[in-house]
Amino acid sequence: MNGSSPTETINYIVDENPQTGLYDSKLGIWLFLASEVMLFGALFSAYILLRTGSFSWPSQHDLMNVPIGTVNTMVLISSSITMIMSWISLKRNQFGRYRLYLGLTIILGFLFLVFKTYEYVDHINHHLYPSTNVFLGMYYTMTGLHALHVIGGIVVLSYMWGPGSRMWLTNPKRLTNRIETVGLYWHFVDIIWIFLLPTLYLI
Amino acid sequence: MAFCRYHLDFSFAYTLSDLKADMKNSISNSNENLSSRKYILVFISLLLLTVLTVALSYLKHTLMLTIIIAFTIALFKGGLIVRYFMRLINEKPVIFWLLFLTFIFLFAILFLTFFEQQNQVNTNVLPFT
Repeated sequence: MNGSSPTETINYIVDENPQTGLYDSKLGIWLFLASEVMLFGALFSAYILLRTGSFSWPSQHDLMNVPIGTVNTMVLISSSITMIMSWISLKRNQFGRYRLYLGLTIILGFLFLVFKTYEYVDHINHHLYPSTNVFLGMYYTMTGLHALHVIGGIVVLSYMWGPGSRMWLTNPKRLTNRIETVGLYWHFVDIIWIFLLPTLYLI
Repeated sequence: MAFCRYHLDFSFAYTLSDLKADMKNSISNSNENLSSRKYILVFISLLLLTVLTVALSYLKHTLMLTIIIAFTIALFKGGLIVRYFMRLINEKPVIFWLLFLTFIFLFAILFLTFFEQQNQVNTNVLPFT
């Protein structure tokens, strides 16, 4: 017993931990992203395995709605720039701009989901179900998992835009760190989509 | 007296509001270049590369060439996001080691399963239908 309280072990959420040179939340989000690389990596691996092992494979270019996939990519890239701008706004002590950019990020996230839903509905109207063939099974699995990540991101971003933003009055540096870690997650979701576009739409 | 030594002078007029202002200033006084222009240039590059990827996919190439072109551009785009938006270049060594280990395991997943599958095809195990 050294007399220290249990909370003293998690003090590095604002300042850098001398052992790692990072604040603990940042190390935590990078560890989480590493696990996410393995999750999506396993799915990409399964896709390669199934495609190279199949007798026939449908023409993805003809089956998928490439213009919507392209627009959705641009929407997510736009949300990445608004995300980084919201963090920069906090670094510059511009709280109003932070909320503006974060709000735009949330709207763009929703727009991505609207386009994705339209695509799913269109596929189902054309009787293209996950059970139709191996490619569609992989398509729904990979894009569905990605969409779940977008939804999760929107939930966290909405909290940081609303009640979570009150932290600016009490601990601005901690709020800035939180936005940085959420931003890392959001950029990762963007990167995954950048690889999903050629994998599922273009080749 | 100890508080009056060089670099240790402590003023009792240092109020809570001053502390808060210092805290806010410390946020923006990092060494990072926070120029919006840099990020907007990266953003425009990403949009142009997306258009390029899609445009090239409409040209009639062999499957292998299409895969190489599409994924080279995707890797470059991913690199831009990691480099600038996630600011990996400014990160501490522990993050690089973490990512190094992650990608070793990722390539193991990708290639070991692929080689195993090729092995099964060569030994006449029925492929997926």
